[in-house]
Amino acid sequence: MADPVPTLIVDIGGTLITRARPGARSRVLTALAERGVPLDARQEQAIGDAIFTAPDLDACLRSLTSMYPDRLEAIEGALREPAGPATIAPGALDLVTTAVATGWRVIAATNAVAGTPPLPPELAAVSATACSADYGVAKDDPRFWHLLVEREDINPRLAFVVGDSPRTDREVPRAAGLQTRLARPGSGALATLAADLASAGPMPPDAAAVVVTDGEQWAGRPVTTAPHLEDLVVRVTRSRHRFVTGDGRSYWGQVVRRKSLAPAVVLDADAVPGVSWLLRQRERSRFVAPAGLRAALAAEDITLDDLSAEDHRHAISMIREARDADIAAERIADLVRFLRDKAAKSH
Amino acid sequence: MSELTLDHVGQLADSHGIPLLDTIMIAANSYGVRPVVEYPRVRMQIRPLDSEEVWQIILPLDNEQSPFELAGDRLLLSGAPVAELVGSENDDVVLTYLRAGGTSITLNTYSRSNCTGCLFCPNVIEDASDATLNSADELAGVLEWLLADNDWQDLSHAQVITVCSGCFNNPGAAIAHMGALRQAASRYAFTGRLHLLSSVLRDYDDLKRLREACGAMHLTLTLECFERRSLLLKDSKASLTLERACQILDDCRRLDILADFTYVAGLDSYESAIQGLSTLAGHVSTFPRIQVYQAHNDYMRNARHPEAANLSYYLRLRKELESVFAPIGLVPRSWENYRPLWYSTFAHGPVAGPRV
Repeated sequence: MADPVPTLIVDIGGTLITRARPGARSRVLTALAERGVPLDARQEQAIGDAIFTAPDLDACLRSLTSMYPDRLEAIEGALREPAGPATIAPGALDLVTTAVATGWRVIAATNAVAGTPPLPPELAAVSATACSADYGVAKDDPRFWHLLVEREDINPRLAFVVGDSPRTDREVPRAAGLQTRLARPGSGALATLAADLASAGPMPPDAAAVVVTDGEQWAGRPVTTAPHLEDLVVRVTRSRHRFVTGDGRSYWGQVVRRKSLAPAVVLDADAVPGVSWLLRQRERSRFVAPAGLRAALAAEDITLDDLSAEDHRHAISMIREARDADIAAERIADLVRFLRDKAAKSH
Repeated sequence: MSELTLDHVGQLADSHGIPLLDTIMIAANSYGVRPVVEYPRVRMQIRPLDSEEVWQIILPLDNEQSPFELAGDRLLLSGAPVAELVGSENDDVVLTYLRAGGTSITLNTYSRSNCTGCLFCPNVIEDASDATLNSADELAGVLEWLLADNDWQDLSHAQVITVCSGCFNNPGAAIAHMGALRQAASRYAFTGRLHLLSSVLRDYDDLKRLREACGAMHLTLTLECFERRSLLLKDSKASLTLERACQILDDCRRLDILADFTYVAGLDSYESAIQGLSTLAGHVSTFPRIQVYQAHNDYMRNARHPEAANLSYYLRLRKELESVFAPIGLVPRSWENYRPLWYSTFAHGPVAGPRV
C-alpha cells in the first residue's frame, strides 16, 4: 500500500547543493579528453552509466578501465579525487524546511559516484537518499524512478520531482509517471517553490493528488503536465475536479487526456497556484424518483434497488424530462412494466 | 438471440446477398458485447478477419446474453474469431473527435451530457466530460487545443465541423452557437461546412438565419424513429412529425443547406421504417444517418421493436433501402456513420472509405 504522505523528491547536485569541484563524471571525461581520447555522445553515456551505477569505487574503476585499459592511471586519479566541499544552494534549506513543516517527506535523488560524502547536516530533514549506485541504474533511465517509487513506497499521485536537469529531472521522471518542476540554478526557483508549498499548506484529508505547475503553456493557455494522473483519464477524456490551496484559494479545473503527451491539468483560473491539491470527486448524487413513479412502484411492490447507479439515472431522467403529465405517465407505466417483467423472470 | 453463430450469420449473409463482413458488423452493433471491462461503451478499431482494412466501431459492452465477446485482441462470435482488435478506448462524451483522417471534426460543445430524455441515448449513463461553450472565444479555445493535440497549424485542411447536440432548447441558441463556431473556426483558416445535428430548427426564417449567420451548412434532423415518439424521445424531438421533417428538408434545399436526418433502425416495425424512410428519401440532399439500434442496458433492450430481435430485420431493411436511395444517387460514406447498415458495399458498389 503506497504511503499517503506527500513526497518531494529533490535532485542533489546542482539543486540542493553545489560542490567546488566538478563531479566524478566530468573529471573522468576531462582526464580522458586531455589524454587525447576522442569521445562521442554514446561513449560519454557509457562512462556516465559506469560511474553512476557502480556499487563502489573499485568496481567503477574496473568497469572504466575495461573500456579504456591504457588510461588506468588517468581514470583512477580523476575518480579518486575527493569531492569538493558542498555548499547548500540558495533556497534549498528553506525548501526542505518548509516541505517538512507542511507534512511532506523529502527524499534526495542523486547520480553521485559511490563514496560521495553525505548531505550537509543542515539538510538532515531529508529522510532518505536514493542513489543510482545503490539502484544499479542511473537517473536518466526511467527504471531509476520506478525503483525509487517502489523502494520508498511513494504514491506517485502525491509526489513530484524537482531538479535542474531538463532531461534527468523532468523528461525521464515524467516518462516514469512522476510530475516534475524544473529548478534552474540561480533562478530563485527553490525559494519560489518553498513559498508555493507554504501556500498549498498541509495535504487536505480529501486530497487525491498534488498538482505542481512548471510554467508551461500549451494550446495557448497555462497547463500542468500530469503523468501521475494518467489513470484519471482512462474511462473519460476529461475529468473535472476541485483544486484547493491551504491559503483558501479554490478552483475548478480538468485533467485532460492528450493524444501523444501526458495528460494536462487546466484550471479555470487566470492566476494558477504553483502547488495545489486535487480533491477526490464526490459520487454523483442519485436521482430522486418522482412521486408518480414512487406511487406506481409501491402499487406493484417493485423497487429500483436492483438498477445500477447508471441505469437508475437513465430511468429517472427519462421520466423527469417529460414535461407533459400524460407522457410522464406513459413513461412511468412503461418502466414499471419493464421492472415487473424483469422481476417475474428472475423469480 | 445468443445462439447466433458464425455459420448462422454466414447463411443469413448468403440468403440476403450481403457480404459476411457487413452482416457481422450489423450483428455486433445490434447485440453489443459481453462485459469484460468496466467501460460501458468502447470505441474500437477492428480488423475483421479476411479484411486488410481497419474499421471503427463503437459498441456497448453490457449485454450478458450477447454472442459477441472480447477475448484478448480478438472479437469472437460464439467462440469463433471474427475480428482482430487493433485499438480501443472508453467512449465517453468527448469534447472533440476526428473522422476521415481529421478532415471531419466533431464537437460536443453544448452540454451534450446534460441532454436527457431519449430512451436509447447512452449519454446519461456515461461520465460527463463535455461543457457548455457559448462564445467564439470559448470555442476558439477548444479549436486551439485540437490544433495542439494533433500538431496542426490551422484548420484549412478540414472540410466539415459537426456539432452533435440535441439540447439546444430553442432555435436562437442553436443559431448563436453555430454562428460563434463559424467565427471561431475562421480564425484558424477553416472555410469548410458547418454541420449541426438537431431538431430544434424548424421554421424557414430560422433556417435562413442559420444560413446567413454560418455560411455553408449541413443540417441533420434528429428524427430517430416514426413510432412511439413520445415514449422514446425527449419532448423537443418527439414533436417533430414526418410531414414537418419533409418540409424542413425542402426548405433546406431552397436555402442551399445540405440536409438529411438521423434514424435508429430497430425501434420501429419494419413496415413503418420502410414507409417513413421512403417518404423522406425524396427530400434529403445527402445520405441519411441510419444507425443500427444499440441498447446499453436491459431497459433499452426492452425498447427494441420485437420485429428487430431478428437479424433479418436489418438485412431486409438494408436491401430495401438500397432500392430507395440508389436510384436518387445517394450513397453512404463509412466515416460518417460508425453503426450503419452498410459497411463494405451499398447496392452494387463499394462504400467509400476511410473507415475511421
